[in-house]
Amino acid sequence: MKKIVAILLSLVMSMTMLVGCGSSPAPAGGGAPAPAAEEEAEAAEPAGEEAAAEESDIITDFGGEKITVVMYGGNPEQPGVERVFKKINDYFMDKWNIDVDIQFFTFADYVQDTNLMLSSGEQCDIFCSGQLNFTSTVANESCYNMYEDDLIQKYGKDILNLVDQAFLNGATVDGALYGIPTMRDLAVGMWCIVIAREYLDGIGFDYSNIDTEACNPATPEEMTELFAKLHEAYPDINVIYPWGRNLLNQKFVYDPIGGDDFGVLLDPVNSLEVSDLFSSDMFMDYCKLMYEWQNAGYISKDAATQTEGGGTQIMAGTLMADTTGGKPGIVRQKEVERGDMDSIAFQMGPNFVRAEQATVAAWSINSDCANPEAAMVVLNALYTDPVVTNLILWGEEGIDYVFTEDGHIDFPEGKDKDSSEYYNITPAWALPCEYTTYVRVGDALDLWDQTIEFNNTSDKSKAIGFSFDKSEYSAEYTALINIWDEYAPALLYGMVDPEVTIPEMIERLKAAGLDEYIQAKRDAVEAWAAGE
Amino acid sequence: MSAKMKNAGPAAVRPQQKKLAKRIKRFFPVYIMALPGLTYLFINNYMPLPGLALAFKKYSTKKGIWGSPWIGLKNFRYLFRTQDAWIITRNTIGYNLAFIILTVVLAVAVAIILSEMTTKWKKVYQSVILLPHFLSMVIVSYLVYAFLSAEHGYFNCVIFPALGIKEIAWYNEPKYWPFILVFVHIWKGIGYSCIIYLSTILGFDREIYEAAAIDGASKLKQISTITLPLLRPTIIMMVLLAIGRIFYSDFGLFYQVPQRSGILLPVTQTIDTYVYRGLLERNDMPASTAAGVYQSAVGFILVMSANLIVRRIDKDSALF
Repeated sequence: MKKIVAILLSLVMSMTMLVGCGSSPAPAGGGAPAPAAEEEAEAAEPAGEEAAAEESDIITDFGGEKITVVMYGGNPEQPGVERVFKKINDYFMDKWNIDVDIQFFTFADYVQDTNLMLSSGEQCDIFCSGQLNFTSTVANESCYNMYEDDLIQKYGKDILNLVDQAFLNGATVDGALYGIPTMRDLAVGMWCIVIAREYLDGIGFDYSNIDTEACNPATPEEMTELFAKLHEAYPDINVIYPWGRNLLNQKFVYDPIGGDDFGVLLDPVNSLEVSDLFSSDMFMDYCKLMYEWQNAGYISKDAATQTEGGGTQIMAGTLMADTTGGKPGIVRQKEVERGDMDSIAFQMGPNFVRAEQATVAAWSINSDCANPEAAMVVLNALYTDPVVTNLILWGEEGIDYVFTEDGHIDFPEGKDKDSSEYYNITPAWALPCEYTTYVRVGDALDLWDQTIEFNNTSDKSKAIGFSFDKSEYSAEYTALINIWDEYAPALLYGMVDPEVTIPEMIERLKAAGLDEYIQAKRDAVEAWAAGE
Repeated sequence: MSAKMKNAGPAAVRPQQKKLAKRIKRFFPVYIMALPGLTYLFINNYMPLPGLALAFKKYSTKKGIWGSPWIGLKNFRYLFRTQDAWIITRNTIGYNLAFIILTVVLAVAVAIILSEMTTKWKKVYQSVILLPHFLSMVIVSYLVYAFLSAEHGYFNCVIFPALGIKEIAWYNEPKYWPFILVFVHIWKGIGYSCIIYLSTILGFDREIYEAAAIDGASKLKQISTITLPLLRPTIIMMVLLAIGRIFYSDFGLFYQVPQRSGILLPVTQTIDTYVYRGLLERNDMPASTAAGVYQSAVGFILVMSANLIVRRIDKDSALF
């Protein structure tokens, strides 16, 4: 008896270890019966709904149905939030009789908080699946298929008019539309570096051929030369904070199809050939350049463990330039980020739209949603209704903003960014679609036209519309990403000699199944191309 | 026969029931006192157990844990696809063994030194040694950063130039980290560990020491022949308690102190940080649960075998 008790005790002891890490799935376990019940309810509903749809075809009054929208932004804790959201709710109630509840999480909390809502079965009808990693969100079956029962054709017509079909195809998996791409700058200006102007002034930089409002073309050699001068003049301040692992695709033209760097298109504009990024010359050259910059003292020796973003470091006076993706209005955006610090942007690569843009910030309807029709109506309005988008972005006219004579918007008299009750809850690019929003003083009035033009004229990946289901290869994927995580900061901030480290990393990646993974992607691309 | 049994049954049970009722009544206040702890244990340690099933399933938030389809051991594949399983197991056990051995040796040494001290500063020393225990690991991680930062660190900016040593990029050099982590752990924990030894030593009968001193035993002799033998049961108990937790790792130490530097992962990653990364950075619940199940399984085997060994050596000291 004593022995049995003893064994049980030891079992308990070792189980408690698991609990330390297993407690997160716990709420899901506790909440498990609830989603099951909801599922039944949902299964029963479409049948009834369908019959109704056939009679009246399209529902216009949703009977006060509640729809929860979970958005992300910079600064959700503001005194005016309640008032503005009430306004938005009133608008939806008047127009469709939908009780819309908007919730904002900060950028930092969004992934965790939304995941928690999804797995605990809390109501969360519209969310940004792209932020949570589109592929895994689809694999978890969290997204509603918007092609089901012609949902988007009936309730999301404006979205269909707005978004290019090729991009919708990019968010389509096995014929099911799981997300709507965010409509913003889809192209990215590669190799864009934004330098605080005071340092350029300090070395007597010649601005005669420089556009202070847009990205100026440059070459890596010119930049290295410029950095040398900057470093000489300000030896104690780091020159540049380079791109981290997740922003590698802002550096050079390659397409990380399927949303990861294992098996990429190295010549995405012309060819669908899937190759290994890490053994390419492009990658080696880039890492060598970073190694050179690091050794020359341009990059912080602490870059790999740096937790503050470039903007914060520049404001703190420890950094001169950071990196970004070029686009119309980028200089202004960076200046705002740095507390209105004059800045100059250089761009060393072309503008390019990668295939992943279809899903990188896609918005989805929860597969658990009790009323997908109402959710679709709300999502449609979030993309295309200027009343809704401007309320969310800028608040109420007259209270939170006023129009200037030329059509910009600005603070009402006597208000500024500190005294305003509702300001900067989120940047425009974090909305589902920024095109219908008003433009603030400081930006070009035709900013959104410029953006659409920018998207249309950029080089585009041939793989737009391709999506990769990696669920069969999740073991390889997890193993590969673990290895890449380990090496990326050291390589990308020039901490280690790429000649030595890259071969070592490739060897480990290959042992973890890199070749099989790339082959799987290659097969998927071929199958997809054949179907196009 | 059966009728007899029926009659005999209740009669035989009754006194036993009475005894039980009496016992419950007698210990009722104790049960009440245990209730909060037991409730906590149940909620925190037992209720999540069904979640283990997730490790063997293809998880779908829509279908929930029970509705998701079973896929066998597929979720475990990634652990063994690379050397990850080996590395995290090696790190967890290796570091904990080093921690256990060094903590015991140093804590006992510090306790003995403190107990032999006669200066009036004794209380101050003791408090200073204990202080790091109360710091959060996040703060400790920045203290360490202040010393080791490549650019502004105390070592690279003050100590090394003075000694003419070349700068070291600490956060890029895995080889130093086993020592750094062990040092930080000991520095933070030793004050707390030595309290138990110190209080035990202070409880020893001073007359034994006086007798030994009269017989001409030196301080060292006193320590090796009186203090250490008397401390033995305490040391064995403390080591056993530590071994029971050998498959836990100090999450803050391994996650915060290396500043999440990727290149250090082979020497800083333990099972807990591995699971945490998989869950929060990649939103991969089944894979994380699989790593958790692996941790429990290996931990169970370890605790059982450690106990077995202890039983062989000293039966009274075994946990069960």
